[in-house]
Amino acid sequence: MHLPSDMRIALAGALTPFDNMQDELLQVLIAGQCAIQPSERYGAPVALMPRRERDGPITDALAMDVATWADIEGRPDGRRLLVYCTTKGRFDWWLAERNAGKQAKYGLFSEVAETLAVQKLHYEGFRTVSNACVSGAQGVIEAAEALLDGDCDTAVVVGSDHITEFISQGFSSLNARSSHPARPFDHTRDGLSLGEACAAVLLKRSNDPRFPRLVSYGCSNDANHISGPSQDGSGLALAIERALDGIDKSEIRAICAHGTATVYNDAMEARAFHTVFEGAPPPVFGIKGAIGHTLGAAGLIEVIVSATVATEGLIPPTVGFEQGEVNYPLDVVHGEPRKIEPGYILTTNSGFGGMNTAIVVGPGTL
Amino acid sequence: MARLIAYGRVSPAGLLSWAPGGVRRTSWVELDAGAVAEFGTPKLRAKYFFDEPFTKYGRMDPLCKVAVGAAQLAVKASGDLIGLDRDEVAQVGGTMLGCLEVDAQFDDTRRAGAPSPALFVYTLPSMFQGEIAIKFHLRGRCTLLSTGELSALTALGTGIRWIEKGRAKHVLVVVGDAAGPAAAQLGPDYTAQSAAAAYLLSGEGNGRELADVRFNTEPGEARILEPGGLKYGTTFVDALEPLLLGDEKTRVHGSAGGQSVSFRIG
Repeated sequence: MHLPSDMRIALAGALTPFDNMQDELLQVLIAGQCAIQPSERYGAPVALMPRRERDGPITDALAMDVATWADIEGRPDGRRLLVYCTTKGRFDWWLAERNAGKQAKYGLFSEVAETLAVQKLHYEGFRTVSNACVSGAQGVIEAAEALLDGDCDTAVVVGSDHITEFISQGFSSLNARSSHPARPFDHTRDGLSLGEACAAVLLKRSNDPRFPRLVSYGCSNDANHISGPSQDGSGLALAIERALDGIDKSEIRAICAHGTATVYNDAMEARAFHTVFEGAPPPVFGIKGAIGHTLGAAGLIEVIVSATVATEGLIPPTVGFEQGEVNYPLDVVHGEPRKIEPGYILTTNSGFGGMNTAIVVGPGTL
Repeated sequence: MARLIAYGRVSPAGLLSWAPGGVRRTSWVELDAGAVAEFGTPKLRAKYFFDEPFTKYGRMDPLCKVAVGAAQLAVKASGDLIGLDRDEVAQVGGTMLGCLEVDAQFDDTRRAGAPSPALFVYTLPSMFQGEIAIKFHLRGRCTLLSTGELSALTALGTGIRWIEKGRAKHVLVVVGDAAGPAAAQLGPDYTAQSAAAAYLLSGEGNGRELADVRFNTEPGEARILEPGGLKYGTTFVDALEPLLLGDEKTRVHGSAGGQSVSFRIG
């Protein structure tokens, strides 16, 4: 689905385990740094945000940090929409209170958006998008469509999730976590590393050439398995084909892959890329070896990173990757950053429930 | 313009399915379903919805069970999606409580030292869309939206928009919530209730015309929807149902939490 040329990312920022905002994030990614550290509490390496004293649920606080930043820096005007992307929201507070035998003060995953939009920022509209690990990307798509339809004049998309024992033990129960920092697309990969982060983008319709473009998107469902990817990659390939409809595939300079570093996800993605690009996919990179899988924030952060790569023409190395697979081999950027011509970057995400998203981001000018 | 070509609903009142030309209501008594449980429905069983055995249904979490049940009622009423390209059937979901019940169940296993992977996979609000996609082989786009008590109207409005704007050829909108013992922890206002509704929309075929969606506008001359007996993510479902299944042409407007959705029923 193509978007008009004035659909742009006017502002983007992310708070990650590196404790930084957007400009510094790309720098640490370019430098090949890794924020994933061993964790006794969570049973396997994780990438944690710096812990500060917080009043109330951490997820709320993270979302508030980036939403307030976007509101102040971006000065959204007209009718404003807040789209909040999360997989779990503030549920851990509800669980903690429940387990302590108290009446829960916090609970609904849907309430964070309302709190932010109505009580704090006084926006006219809000919605929560929760589609597993594609939530962040899906939120960007929802916001773009709301702008396209004239439901709002500016849209702030916020994504946040944080690590809890609930989540870490859940992924461990599925044998989905690695005992090492994640190694996306490496032939020795054996699972993901959880991370936590929050991010915000401000979208609006603008002809300002400085702002990166949202060019197109496509989505699909595998209709195959409730928690595992379709092994032939056909679901993701369908989403990418929908995003690339009408686009010359040679214009895609690189792919920012979901790259969770689970055996099946990365194999599925590689196969999908080979299908769509007829055996010759463009260079691939992933950031989950650096900051972990940040769940509801992941897709949003990857849109932000893709927009920066599209503009600066510099692909960060895929931390954790050393040697790829024999089947469906990929040109995984690793070891050091790679210069490319500024241009379109494809970013893909897949999640439980068979969800797939593909978004094409175009460059702005610096 | 979108058309509502089939509809299904599961609630404490029983089951309802509709397609142009006929409505079918089935009570829990007719199904010999036993007493209505504290969740607001009897224990849901696959045989109430499916003609063939569906063993996986029994392993689903409460939200998936009620949502998949509603989806099946609409799918069956449509003639098993006859004439629809299933790659082009998208889904919009709506929920307010999400997967709260299975969250609590999984957390209990975790605190007991044996976290259950079978429960953990359902601890995402959108998992019912994955189950629906698998069961009916739907490969269109999916999104799950929550706007509190406006979730049903937001999801339905979004589905109508997708058809009107050419973003999907067909859309299965499923809204639901399963409020059980865990939801009761949220406070005295939270009473048990399990309910879901499924709206099958298409740009083709026969059905009620639905069009001209507006978010967060004044109601104007629209008919104001008042919440009925259904709550949470299915608020307004029962208020809307007789209008969708009737033949009156009208514009409806529902609001909650400071937001509103309005659309025309033609």
